Amino acid sequence: MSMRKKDSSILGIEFHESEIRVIQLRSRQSQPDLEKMGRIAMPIGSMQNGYIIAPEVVSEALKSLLESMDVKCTRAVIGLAGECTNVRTIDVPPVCDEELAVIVSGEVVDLNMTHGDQGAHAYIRMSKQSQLEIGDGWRDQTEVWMGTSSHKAKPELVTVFATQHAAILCIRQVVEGAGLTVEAIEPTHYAMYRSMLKTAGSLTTFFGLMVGPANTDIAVVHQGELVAYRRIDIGSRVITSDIVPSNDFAYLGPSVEEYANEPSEAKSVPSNLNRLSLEAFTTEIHRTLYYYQREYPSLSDCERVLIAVDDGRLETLADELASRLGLTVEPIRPLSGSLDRPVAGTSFTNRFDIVCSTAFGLAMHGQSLSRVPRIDLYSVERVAEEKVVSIRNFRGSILTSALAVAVGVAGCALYQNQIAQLDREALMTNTQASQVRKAINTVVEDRHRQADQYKAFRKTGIPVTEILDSIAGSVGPGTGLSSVAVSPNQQVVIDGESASESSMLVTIKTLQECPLLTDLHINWFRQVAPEKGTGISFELHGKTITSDRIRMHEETKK
Amino acid sequence: MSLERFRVLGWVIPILCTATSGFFIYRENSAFNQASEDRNKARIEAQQALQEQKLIETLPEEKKYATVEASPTEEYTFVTSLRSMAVKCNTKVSSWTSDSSEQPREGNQKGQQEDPLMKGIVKISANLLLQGSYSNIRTMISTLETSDRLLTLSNLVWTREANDSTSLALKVTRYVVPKKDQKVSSGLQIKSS
Repeated sequence: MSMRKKDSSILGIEFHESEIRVIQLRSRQSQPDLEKMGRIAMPIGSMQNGYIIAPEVVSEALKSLLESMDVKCTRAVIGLAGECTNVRTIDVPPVCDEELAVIVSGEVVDLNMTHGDQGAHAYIRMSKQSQLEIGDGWRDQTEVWMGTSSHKAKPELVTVFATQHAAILCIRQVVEGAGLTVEAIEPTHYAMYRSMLKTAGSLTTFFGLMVGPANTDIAVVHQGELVAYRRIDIGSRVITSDIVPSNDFAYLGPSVEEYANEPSEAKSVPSNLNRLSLEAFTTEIHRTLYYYQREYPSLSDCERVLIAVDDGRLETLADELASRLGLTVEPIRPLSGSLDRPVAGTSFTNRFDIVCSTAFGLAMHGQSLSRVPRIDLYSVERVAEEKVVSIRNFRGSILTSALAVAVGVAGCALYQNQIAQLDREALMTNTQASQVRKAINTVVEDRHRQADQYKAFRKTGIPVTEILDSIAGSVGPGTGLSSVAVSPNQQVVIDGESASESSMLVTIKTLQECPLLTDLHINWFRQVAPEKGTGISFELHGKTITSDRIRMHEETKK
Repeated sequence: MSLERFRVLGWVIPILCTATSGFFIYRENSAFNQASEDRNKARIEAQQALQEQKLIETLPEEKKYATVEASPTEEYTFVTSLRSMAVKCNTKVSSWTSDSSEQPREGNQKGQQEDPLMKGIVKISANLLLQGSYSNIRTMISTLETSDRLLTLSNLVWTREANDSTSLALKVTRYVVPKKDQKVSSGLQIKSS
């Protein structure tokens, strides 16, 4: 989520049949501050009877205007021409907001305000303050609404603005084509009313005339509260029908710079207003004011009339009306305070000031003017759009989820396959290694067994050569051996003869020192028979060792 | 509220799915690494085993051996070599007796455990009487003792005879095992002697 501070600037854009008007406002300390303004001629034939019929062309014109103004802001509140909106003031029972929305929706359908189209609508409650002072005519209706005489609640007045879906779509196409986002779509007359209230100040009481190309809306304001609202079908188009636009007027598509010079609309003179239309307009205004002054006693002494116009050629309309109605009629100039200081595009001077009330009021849409409810005919479209986007995003997320799951499953399967292969390979290698180890162990054990067998069998034999060598080497001079016997239990019996006793003893001693003979002793000895000689025969007994006690030559080498 | 729920679900579900998939893939990756490591260990172990096997194979066989495999020609071969040896040592083999009935000691006493080293081995004893000069007889006895095949000598009776002759009676014992061939999978043939 971005932590960037939201840009408080907002654009108010009015698509007039003669030109496109743009005002950029910024909210500073809860007060609107004019940043930029500009206008460009509406391309010829792009707009007819309030409907934009060439959105691409208008979009390009708007884009070029924004570029020339160097506008960075993208949020825009768009004005919907009076011809595209259907305005009705209806009576409703005093209900909560949720129920009122349902009732108004039903009334819109019932009154066919959107001409059978799905369209969009918005409504504003009229102030209850003045209804308390309203005439007795309301009483009967109250009993009808409430169904009981115990509650003397009076019906509420609600002014409903409705439009067709096609008008919303055209505006959206134009605005989005220019790289902007629709903040809200509001009727141009209502935007004029907002500018009017901002100019007149709060807690004022007046009649407001918002003159559009085809119709004029009349707002009855008591102490800053909107009490009544109605529309009459006479507008600037018929009033100025006798005035021929000069060559360089906005209809011919002058550039912004040309507007900075003297606009040709100022060249028209008041006397050129259509007299018949003006007469009808004055009559209608007079009747309306009279009616409201009669219906609302608190307005009986109100003689202040404010007028906002959409066409610079109506600059003198206020004076005409004042003289005809005998009332004070003040034209509103919403930029009059802002033009005292340098503002981008202010070279338009007062010529632009008089016709910019719509754009100014639209740009004020986001400002905190608590007494002027906001109207947004784009809300339904926006909700539908958000729903579509949300569902699309949800589908995308489901697709992403499915993709993630698929990747996970595929990855797991591939890994499982690889792991199984590795396990098989490891098992095979381990088996081979264990077989080789087994073979090695068999060989080693066999060799050990053979070595042990060899050593064990050697114990059963005697070292004959060493015994013979030891005995033969131990026989001293004058001594001879007749026999040597070694029994299976290594008992040694040596028989011999010696020439003398001393030589016998020497031999015996030498034999006793022999390491192969142990426990050697004389078993017997005796003189040889005299007829056979003078020697001594003897027999020795002892014990010898087994072969394993003799270290083998190889073992010595090892 | 519904839109918010869609939005939240739109974030939560992919994150959960991605995290779950990532977890499983991570786990499988760990298992794969473990399996790979096990495989490498097995390879190293097998390599070491093969190297040890080659080393064992290159070791010289023991020159000395105690037993030979039983065969019909064993007796003949032994006697022939003995007589050849006697001729070479200029010694006369006056008498010769052979007895294979004696079995090697597989247990010292009754009830003692059988010695596994002696299991299946047949002990063949021969009583010899050699005649000749002392030095010749000694040479022959030495040859018998230092022969590669183990011949145990016992029951020695050395007698001096007339005209500087010497007779030597002794028992020569040799050992045979029943014939068998052991083969292992590696192709290494284990000879019993």
